[in-house]
Amino acid sequence: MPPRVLIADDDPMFVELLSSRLEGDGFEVVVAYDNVQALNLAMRLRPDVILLDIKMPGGSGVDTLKRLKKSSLTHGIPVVVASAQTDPSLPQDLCALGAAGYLQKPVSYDLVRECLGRHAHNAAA
Amino acid sequence: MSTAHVSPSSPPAAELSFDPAELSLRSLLAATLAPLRLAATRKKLQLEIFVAPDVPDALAGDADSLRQILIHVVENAIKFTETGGISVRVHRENVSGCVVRLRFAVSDTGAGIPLNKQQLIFQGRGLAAAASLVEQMGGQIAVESQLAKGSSFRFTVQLLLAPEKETGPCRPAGPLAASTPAPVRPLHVLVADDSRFNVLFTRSLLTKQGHTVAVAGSGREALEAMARQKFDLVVMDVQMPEMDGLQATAAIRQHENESGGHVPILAMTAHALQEDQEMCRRAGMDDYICKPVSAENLLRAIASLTHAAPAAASAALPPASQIDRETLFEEVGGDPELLRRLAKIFDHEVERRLGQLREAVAGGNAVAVSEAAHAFKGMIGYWCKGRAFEAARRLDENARKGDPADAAAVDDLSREISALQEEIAQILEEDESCPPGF
Repeated sequence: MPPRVLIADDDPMFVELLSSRLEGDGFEVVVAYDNVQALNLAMRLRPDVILLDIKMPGGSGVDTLKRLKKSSLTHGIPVVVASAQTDPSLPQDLCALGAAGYLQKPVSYDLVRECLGRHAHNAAA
Repeated sequence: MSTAHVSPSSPPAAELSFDPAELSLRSLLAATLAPLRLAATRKKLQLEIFVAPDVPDALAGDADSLRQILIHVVENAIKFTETGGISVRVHRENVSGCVVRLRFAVSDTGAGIPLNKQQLIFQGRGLAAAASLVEQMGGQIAVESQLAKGSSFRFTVQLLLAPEKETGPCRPAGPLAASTPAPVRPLHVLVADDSRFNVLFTRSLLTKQGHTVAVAGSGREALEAMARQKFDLVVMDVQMPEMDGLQATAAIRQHENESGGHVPILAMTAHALQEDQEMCRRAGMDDYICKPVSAENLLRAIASLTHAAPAAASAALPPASQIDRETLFEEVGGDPELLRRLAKIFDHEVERRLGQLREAVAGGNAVAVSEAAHAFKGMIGYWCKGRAFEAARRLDENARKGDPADAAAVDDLSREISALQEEIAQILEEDESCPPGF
């Protein structure tokens, strides 16, 4: 079974680039463009790993992370946060909330794939 | 017989704007038409080339455009011809001073084009591009057609007689001379690679150095090209379909053992392992570089193989270039279709975000300006870190300090973005001009 990744991001170029290339590398990709969609899809489809943008419409990404970690349906799914914000304390704060990883945008595709692949694999093991 | 003309205006030679790289007309024709000959053979069609003996061979001009025109027109002829063949004929129309005017005729034995469709065919993608390139080269294009007999596309282009030496009387002064690349010895290079993106990258890099480039899509095609013409250098991908780079090199070296000579072969390998290096050497390759190939490594290796002075990698790129193509191609995984989709999304987003930015600036809302400028920085960053990126970064930084910027700053950004969009369009066009199978 190919690892299923949920990309929650409202940047259409980022989503197009990642979903195309991840599919080419054998991932199954699901996309959410806002926080509400992200929560819905996470609960319904139970992806192996989630890539979450912290700044999306429809609420706060931090709240979405908290809710993902609180729900029994999704708390086991590793969440990698991607953000263009440069607040130096953000990565630590997010990890304290249960994020599995943090990627500072702009980020190369190779780094994203490596990170998502590793967490999806760990979750499956 | 009926005739349709497009681009009736012919700009005077002084207005020609092209990069006057030196070219051998006959080699250019042979190299450009070789892959099309394969396509013709597949349809059991003849492809005949005739160059009148009074047509000079050593010319200077926009070789890339001429190649593209030929590819578009001949491809079109092959597409619409079921039996018989296609002929490409070149005649000298006139020579005035340094300017040579050549007349090309691409005739086929296809179905012909009804009179009322003759103007329309120039609206198709390939022929429209050809017509505009012909115009850029100071020429005209026309089609003559007879139903059930065939069509003949005729076009003229203007080229320069190649200068005899660096300061010869034919080297034009002014902007034309200013764009002439640094005097690296011009080489005729065969690039053998089955990846279209590698070919595009290598070809664009080499032609900007003033070299001429022929392309082969496999080891077998490389051997075919070498049987027809002489090259100063071969850049050979190791992994290719049909016949890989190692087999092709071995065949070339074996042939040279009998006939003499030694063409330098530069290998491109996907792996940096010692064994790969050893394998390349054993096959008879002179040097190797690892993929993804950087401009600097490629130019350095070529310089050392051909004993030419190395040119700076940055000099190979036009000064206006904002995009680091190598990084971009790598990031999209060498997928031109993905690049195309990203460009479309980018155009759409630019329009949307520019509206937001103008609104925020007009309202003096520094927070909203920063937000929009930040978004621009992100989306421009996919393509480049050049001037457009810098303009967005400055807007964002100033807005964070409370300066909501003014309309002029937005215009600046908008101008830089337009330049970037033009460059993206050019990259996509270059990709289109590379025929399938490359």
